[in-house]
Formats: sequence, structure tokens, C-alpha cells
Amino acid sequence: MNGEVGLQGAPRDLYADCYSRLVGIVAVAAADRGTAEEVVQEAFLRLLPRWSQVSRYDDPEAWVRMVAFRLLSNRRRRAQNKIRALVRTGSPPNGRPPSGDRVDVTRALATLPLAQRQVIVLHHLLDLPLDQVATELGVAVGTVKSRLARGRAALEPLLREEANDHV
Amino acid sequence: MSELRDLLSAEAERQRPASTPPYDEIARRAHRRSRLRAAAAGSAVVAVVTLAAISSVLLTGSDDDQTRSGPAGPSVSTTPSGPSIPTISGPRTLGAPIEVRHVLRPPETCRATAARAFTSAAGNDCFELAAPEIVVRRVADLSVVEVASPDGTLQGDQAVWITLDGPDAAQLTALTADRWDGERVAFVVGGLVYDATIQGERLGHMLRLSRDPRTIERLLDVLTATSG
Repeated sequence: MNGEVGLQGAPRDLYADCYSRLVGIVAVAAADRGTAEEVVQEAFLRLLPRWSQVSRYDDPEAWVRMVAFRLLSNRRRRAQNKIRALVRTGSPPNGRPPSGDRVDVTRALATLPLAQRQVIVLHHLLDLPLDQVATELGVAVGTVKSRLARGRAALEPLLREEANDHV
Repeated sequence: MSELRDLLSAEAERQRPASTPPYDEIARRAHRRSRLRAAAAGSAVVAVVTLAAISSVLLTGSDDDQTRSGPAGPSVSTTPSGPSIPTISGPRTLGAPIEVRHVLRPPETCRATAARAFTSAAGNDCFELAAPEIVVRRVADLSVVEVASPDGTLQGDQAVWITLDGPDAAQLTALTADRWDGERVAFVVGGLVYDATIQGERLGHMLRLSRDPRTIERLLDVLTATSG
């Protein structure tokens, strides 16, 4: 066994500090909090044996987030049919009703492909520059730009429609 | 797009879970995974050595009675008249393939086919469980091993020891010892719930079951809460 697993205080502190925040962020991209919790936990599982290396990075949380987002992508590849069905129906995967006084951004996001949701969350929610988004997702900057443009274009009328519904 | 950012931030905040799972649970899972990987790596070495030894016998194709030893693995022998079907014998090494293969299987599918129960450690009071079916499954975070005993011989509140026979028993033991070390394991034998303590190393087949009232109460709480 790796002697560092679970024995140091630092990964424990990182976990306590950023677990729920990461779940919130990934949940927006995943459109499902259960999935978000699973991939974030899996990312932490992968962090612990590598802690001696990752702890030297400027932002270990970014590493966990990157792993979580990539795990999310891997899940999508394994469950293409399910994702297609969700996109086709446009129904919110977690089935939670909107609060009534706000635009249901989750419902709008759920109609987008996962790849577009990911770039929108990383760029617009976390303010990451395009090159960092590209690094985290393991794709080219041009790909990030095109996904972002398509995602925003698809999201804009949906959000406007949602807003009108709630007026 | 600042409006979008505000919406996303609000949604991310809303999606944050109210509580965080215990870090110790994450660390324990990472620990267990690390051990499984180490065991799998060990079994891969054994498998390669075994294959190399078998290939060596097949390629030489000698008709003579012979026994060959691999560099670090079990011995391989052939019968005098049949060089095409070698048999493997000798002591099993740490991380023997069968246990590791079973460890990697989902516990929900694990079944064993034979069991004997002893009501004393000396083994002088033995019950043979008739046609037992042993099913391992997860209930919430609790590992549950159910031993159906149709004849009802295994009853009462005394502590019992149980041994399991056959390759599936090795699978069950490997699962309980390797996957669930340090976790709660409930044994349900003949309809009674037992708290299980793994005895010995991963290759051992002995499980000590007890009926400590406080432990059983805790296990029953989990079982009844999740089954309802």
C-alpha cells in the first residue's frame, strides 16, 4: 500500500475545503448531482495515491476538478445512448422543479451536449481562460471556442424562453 | 454574459451538498483499491510465470515422465502418456490467480455452495448445512452475507465458526477479507443476524460469527432501515 494514502492531513484539508464546492460545479455540468458526487469522490480516490506529486502543483483542487470533468466525459462516452435520450427529450435528469422565481438554468443546460456544458461551466462559472479550459478537458483551444459558441448560441434562446415562462 | 455567470453561480451553490462524506471513508476506499491493485499485479506475475511454464512443457512435448519448475511459480508436470494436458501442483503463492480474479468481481454476484458451521473453536460440534446458498450483497454501506439454511440447524445465540468449501468459498473469503476489511459485515444465517469478524489471512476460510447484542442491534437498525 502507498504509505501516503490517508495518512497526511493535507489531502484531508483539501477534501474538507473543496468537496462540496466541486460537487456543485460538476453538478451544473453534469446536470445531475448524484453523478457529480460520484465523479468527485472518484477524483479524490485517484488523488490520494498521487498526493506527493499533486501537492506540488500550484492548485491541487484544479487537478481534482480536471479529473472529475474527464471522468464525466468518460461516463458520457460509456452511456451515449442514455445521454442522447436525455438530450432528445430535454427533460431535467434530476427532476427537481424550478423554484419559481428564477430561471431554471439546469433545465436549459440539460438540453446541451455534455461537452458544451463543460466548457460553459469552466469558462463562465469558474472564469477559466480558454487555454486552461482546453487543458483541463484535454482538447484543443479551437475546440473549446467552437463548443462555447455553439453552447451559448443554443442556451441564449432557451434562457430567454425560461425567463419569459417565469414572468 | 454576466447574467449567465450569475445564474450558473447560483445553480452551483444550490447543487452543493449539505454534508460531506467522511474523509476516512474515501481514504479507506483508496487504501483498499491500492491493495487490490498490488494483489492484481502480483497475480499477473504468477499468471505469466505459469503460462510460461505451461508453454515450455507444451513446446518441448516430451513423452517422458517429468516435472519442471518455473522460475518462481508452481511446478508443472505431465502424465507419462499425455503431454498435451499438463497439471499444475505445488503450493499457492501470495496473490494466487483464483482469489484475485474473484476479488475483482462484484460482490453482488458472489455465491458459495457449501458450508459447515461449528459452535466451538475446537470444531467438536459441527453442523453440516444442507444445501446452503450463500449470497453476498450490499445494503447501504453494509456488507451482508446471507446463508440460507433450509433445515434450520444453525440457530441459537452462541458464537459460531463457519468454514466454507469449494472454489466459491475462496471467492467469498477473498471478498470478505480483501474488499471489506475494516468495514461492517453482517452475516444472516438461518434468519439470524450475526456480526462477522474475519479470522486469519486472506486465504483463510474461517469466519467467526458473534451475537453481541449491541452490535446486532446496530446491524438490525441498518437492515431494517434500508429494507423499509
